[in-house]
Amino acid sequence: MQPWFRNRNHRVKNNLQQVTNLLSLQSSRLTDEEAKKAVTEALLRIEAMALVHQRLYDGDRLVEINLSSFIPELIEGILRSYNYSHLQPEYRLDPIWLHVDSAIPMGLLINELVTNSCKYAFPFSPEPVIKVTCQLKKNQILLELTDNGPSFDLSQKTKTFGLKLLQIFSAQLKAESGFENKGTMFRLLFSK
Amino acid sequence: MNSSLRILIVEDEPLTALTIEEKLTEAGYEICGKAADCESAIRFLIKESPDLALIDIYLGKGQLNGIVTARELMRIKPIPIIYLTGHTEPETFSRAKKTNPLAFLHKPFRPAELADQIELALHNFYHGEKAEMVGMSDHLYVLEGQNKLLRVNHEGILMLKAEGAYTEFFLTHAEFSRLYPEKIYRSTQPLLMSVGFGHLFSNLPENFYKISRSLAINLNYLDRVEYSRVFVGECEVTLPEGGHKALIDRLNIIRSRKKK
Repeated sequence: MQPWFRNRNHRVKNNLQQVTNLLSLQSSRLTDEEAKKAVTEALLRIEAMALVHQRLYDGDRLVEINLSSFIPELIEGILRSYNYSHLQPEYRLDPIWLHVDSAIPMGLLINELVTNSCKYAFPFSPEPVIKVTCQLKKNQILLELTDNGPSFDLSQKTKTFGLKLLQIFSAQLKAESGFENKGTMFRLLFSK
Repeated sequence: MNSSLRILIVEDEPLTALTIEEKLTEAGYEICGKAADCESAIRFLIKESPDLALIDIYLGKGQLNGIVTARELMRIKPIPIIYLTGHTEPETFSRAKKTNPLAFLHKPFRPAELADQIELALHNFYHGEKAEMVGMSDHLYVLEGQNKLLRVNHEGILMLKAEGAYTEFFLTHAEFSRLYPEKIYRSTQPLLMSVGFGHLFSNLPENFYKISRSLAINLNYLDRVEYSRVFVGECEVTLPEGGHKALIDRLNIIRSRKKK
C-alpha cells in the first residue's frame, strides 16, 4: 500500500474519532433528556460512518468493504446502544464488496432503519424480530430490512428527520426504495 | 466489574485521552495516569503501579511508538496491555501481537462501548482458559491476588505441586527474595497460586520433570537421587513406586542429549 494513502486513512480515522469524542463528551454533560437523545442519535450516525472507515484499507481491497461483515457489526452496535443486545437478527447476506462511496450512505440508511426499529417497533412488540437480507442480483444490490413492530401510517411520519434522511441516502445511491407491508419492511434496490 | 482496577492511559491526543478517562471512570475504573509518550508512561508505571495499560500505537511524530512503549513498560514491571489504535494494518497487528496484549481494539472506537470491551478482555484474561497465566520464553506470569500478575522465572522454580485447582510454587531463595524482598524465605513454605498444575506444566521447558501426577521438579536443582526419595534444592521429595526407574531413564535421556 502507498504510504501517502495509509497516512490519509489514518488521518480520516483520527478525525472521525475526534468528532465521536466531542459528541460523546457533550452528551455526558447534558441533563435534558431530549437533548441527550438528539446528541446520541447524531453520535450513532457518526459511528456508522466511522465503522466504514474502520473496515477499509486494511486488506488488499483498498476502497471496498465486505457487506456481509459490515452489516451485522453495524446493526449489533446500534442494538447495543439501545439495550437490545440480546436480540439476534436473522441475516441472509451475500458476500458483497461495496465501494466506500456507496457504503457510507448505505450504512447511514441502515442506521436510520435500525434506530427506527429500536424506537418505534421493539418497545411495542412482546418478541421483537429483525430480519436483514442483502443480495446481489445482476450487479444490483437488494437490501430488505423487516421488523415486527406495529404498522404505521406513512403519511403521518414523512416529516420526521429519520425518514427525511432515508430519502436523502436513497437519492445519493440512486436507489429505488420504500416501505412495504404497512411500514414493517423497507426495501432498497440500487446498482453496485 | 472490579471497581478498584487502576488503568494507565497512553495516548497522545488529549481529547481522546479525556474521552477514555470519562467513559472508564463512569464505568467504575480508576485512571491512575494519562501519559502522552513513552517517557511519562514509564514514570506513571513506577509511581502508580497500574493494573492495566491502555496504549495507543502512534504516539506522534518523532516519538517512540506504543508497541515499543509496551515493551519498555513490561521490561520494568509485568503489566497487562490493551492496544487501542487506528493503525490496524496486518504488519502493525503482528508486531503488536508479539507483546501478548489482552486485546487489540480499533479506532475509531465507540466511547459507550469501550468499558465493555475492556471488561471483556480482562474477563477473558483472568477467567478464561489461559487466564491464569501467560507463558514466556524463560519466565511466566501468574495471577497474584485479584488482578495482579507476578513474574516467575523458570530458573527460580525448584518444584511445583498440584493443590486442587491451584499450584504450590517452591522457589529458590534468590527468586523468592527477588519477588518478596521483605519476607523471610522458608524452603518448605511454598507460594499458592491460582493456576492449574496441568496447564502450568505444559508451558514449562523440558528440564521440568513430572515425578507424579501432582508433582514436578526442576531437574537443574536435583542434587541427590536415592531409591525412594530425591532432594531438590533444600526440599526432600518421596518417589512413588516405579518413580526411581522412570527418573533415571529420563536423566539418561538428558545426559545422552547433552553429549551430542
